[in-house]
Amino acid sequence: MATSDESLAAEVLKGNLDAFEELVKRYQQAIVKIAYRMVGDRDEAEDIAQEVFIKVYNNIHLFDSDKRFAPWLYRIATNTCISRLRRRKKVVLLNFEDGLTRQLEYQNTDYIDPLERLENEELHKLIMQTLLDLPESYRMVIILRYQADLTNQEISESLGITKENVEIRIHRARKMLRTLLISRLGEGRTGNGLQTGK
Amino acid sequence: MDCKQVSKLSLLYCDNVISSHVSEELERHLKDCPECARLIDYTRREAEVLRYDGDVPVPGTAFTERVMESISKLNKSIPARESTGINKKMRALKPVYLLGSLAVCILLVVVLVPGVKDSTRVPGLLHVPKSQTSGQPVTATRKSVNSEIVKPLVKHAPSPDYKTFSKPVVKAKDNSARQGKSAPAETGVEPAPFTTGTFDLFTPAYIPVGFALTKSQHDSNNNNTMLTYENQTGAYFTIVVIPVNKTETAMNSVPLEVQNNSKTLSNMDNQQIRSMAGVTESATIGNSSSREQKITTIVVNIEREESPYHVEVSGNLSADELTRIASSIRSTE
Repeated sequence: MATSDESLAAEVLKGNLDAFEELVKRYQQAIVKIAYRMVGDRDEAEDIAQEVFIKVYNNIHLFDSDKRFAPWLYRIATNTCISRLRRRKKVVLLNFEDGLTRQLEYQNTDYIDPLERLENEELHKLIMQTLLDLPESYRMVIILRYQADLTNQEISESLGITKENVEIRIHRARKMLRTLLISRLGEGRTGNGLQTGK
Repeated sequence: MDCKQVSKLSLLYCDNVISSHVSEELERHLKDCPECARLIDYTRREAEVLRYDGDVPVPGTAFTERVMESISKLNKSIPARESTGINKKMRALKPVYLLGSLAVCILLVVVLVPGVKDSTRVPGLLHVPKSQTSGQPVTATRKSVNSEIVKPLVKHAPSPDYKTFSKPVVKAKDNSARQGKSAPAETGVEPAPFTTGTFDLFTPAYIPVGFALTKSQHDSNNNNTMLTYENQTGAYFTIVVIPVNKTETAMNSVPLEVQNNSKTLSNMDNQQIRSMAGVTESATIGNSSSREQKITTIVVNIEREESPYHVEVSGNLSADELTRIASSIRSTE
């Protein structure tokens, strides 16, 4: 049976670099994936992932060995991504929890199916690009849920928010994503009869 | 169940996280409502698309190696990072130091001339001649040292940065030194079993009474050495020895370059040594019991033939005491 992440972390604390290498190997793909989806740039994603692992190594003594390693790692990863984005943008982030979602309420999006209107490759590209336009807190839950394949419970541990909050955030994020997708499709193909009504 | 409820539950339903009787009820609604069926179908397919990762870069062994490489570099940069702050402060004080070192140089020339004949000098290191070590000034200082250590000091653990690298070493020696409470300065503490390989080892000839080596780390790649000594009252000091090349030394503007002038050092009082060594008294660190204690860092450069060393001694002892330790550091080669 493979050694648990937590035992490996304990080994790292004792100075075992092989144990750390094993942790890197286990999680590098997941961390690069999260970083790539958050920032949309391949090089920067690897750069962030490297920064995450260095932070993990530097702070391994702060890891509570009674808890699970993965959420702790993901929390470092999400924080690193977000601080990188803030450094890059240097803008004040708005709290999207309220205003924007309320705006979306009265847009009826149920009748349109953007997924059917695009070829696979084009669709993926559009969806991932649209994802980058979501507010960070929304983007993060979507990425952790669907890209990193975490459960809501794991996301709640990683982000330090309640499970209910995770559910609400995912719901709102997907609603917003759908709205953005439809408006993009509309923008791109006005006049092609794409505008559908009930 | 109505359409509104289905819309609310759609995500949870597609993620299979709602109870079976709720999903049965929902499915019953879907049979009669093509609108909602489409929504559920859409939600499901959207989730699939959101899982798409065909374009995500795949970090291979090259990435792992890069991470591990920066981790091993980290071993080197941790003490270096600490010194940056110190150097910054020193840079601000540069003119003062320049004047100071000029004065010291003159002093050295004056005092050194008769000392050249001293044959017991260890080449290249700060050196306290035996006649001086056992002489009166040192004894007097040790008494004052004792009284200082007896003072209960606020517990302050060595920087957590070091924790990762510390190895539980020399426990037996450690205990015996503690039980004895008076480890002889020159012989009481042996260096810890370091990693194998050839490297220069530095230990202080002077170790205050009651202190024992509790942590040691040697980075054989960079030839860095870190030693932590502690006593039972929570006082500690840490010695970091980093080999530097000469250009680095110049760039860092570390004010002190001691070149085989240990005799002079021992002839000076601590105040003088402090004025020539880089002494940084950090901001006081408050703690819950409202008592405060200072972490002081002494920076000394040791010039030994072609290989200069940057030495930092820091801890919660007085600057005088740390200076004494710093000036007694010598190679065990």
